[in-house]
Amino acid sequence: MAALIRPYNERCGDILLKFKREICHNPYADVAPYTRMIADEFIIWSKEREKEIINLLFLDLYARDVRSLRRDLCKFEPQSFLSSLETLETSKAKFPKRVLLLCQLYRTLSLFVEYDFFGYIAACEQIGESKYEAAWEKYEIARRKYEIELILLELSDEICLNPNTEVSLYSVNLIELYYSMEKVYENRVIKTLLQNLYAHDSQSLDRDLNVKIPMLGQVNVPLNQRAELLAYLYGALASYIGEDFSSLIERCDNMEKIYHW
Amino acid sequence: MTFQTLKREHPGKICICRPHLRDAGSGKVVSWICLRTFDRVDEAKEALKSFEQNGVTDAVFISTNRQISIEGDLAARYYRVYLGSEQ
Repeated sequence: MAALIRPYNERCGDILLKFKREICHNPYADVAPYTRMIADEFIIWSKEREKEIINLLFLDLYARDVRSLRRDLCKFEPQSFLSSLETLETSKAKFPKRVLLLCQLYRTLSLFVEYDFFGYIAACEQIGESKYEAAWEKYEIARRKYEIELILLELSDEICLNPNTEVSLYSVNLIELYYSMEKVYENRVIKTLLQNLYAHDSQSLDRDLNVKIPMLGQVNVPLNQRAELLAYLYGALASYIGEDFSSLIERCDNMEKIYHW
Repeated sequence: MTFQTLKREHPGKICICRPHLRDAGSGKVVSWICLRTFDRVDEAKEALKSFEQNGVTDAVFISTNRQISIEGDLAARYYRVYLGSEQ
């Protein structure tokens, strides 16, 4: 965990320094292992970011009432909830209070949406096209690796000309590349949430986001309904959370310590 | 998550887990819900007490890389816990 807390530039810098040492010994050294190392780091950071966004959504649902969130999470039975969903056919039947949930999460969702929700509304009709999504993801990973490799090759050329080259600039370039990748992962969480809540029903999503939610404004979810909405949120993001609540409960505990202090 | 998944996702940690799925025949727990992870046993023991105070009375701690001695009332909870072929 401590390794994850270290700033991105430090961790990129460590890999680049190793790479620099190797190039100084052998100018024809293979860049592939370093490309892989950096790509793996990017994936670890992206996964952490995904967790962070999911945690934020749960915290927002409970209006930062971490004690209640922790209590409800500990009581929550994911298996029985997911089994109950299987018996229902439409997304409306599965998540009847989805407008209330979206209303509560709207502010947080807006932080991660670049322009508007149009792309997410369109994506709602495309679920089930996992073949294309998998191909797209594969392409994205290959593209990032290629871009990382370009940066490393540029650095290696520079080191051959000047062995005292500073790696910090290249580290910044790599981090910029990571941030563009992070956005993709952020969008994927939001897309999954909306797609599962409104599967094949982009019209309802459009109406709820553009008409109902602005009309309702900021709603305080009644305490007795929060556990139900927690189940919805879990149901829509179950593919990310699985049976691992540790990150979210740890976040609750840490926040409670701060409040207590 | 199964014990193998716990090992993969939380290597070298002590996890506080609740039973998720049980084997229908033997009643043994085969899948867990991970509630918290810790680096040290004493931290995990302390946290388990706080979970108990909050009404979570079926949680146990599982180390993904070492044996932990379990004594007293807690030992009873490990009855029918199945941790895969390594146990």
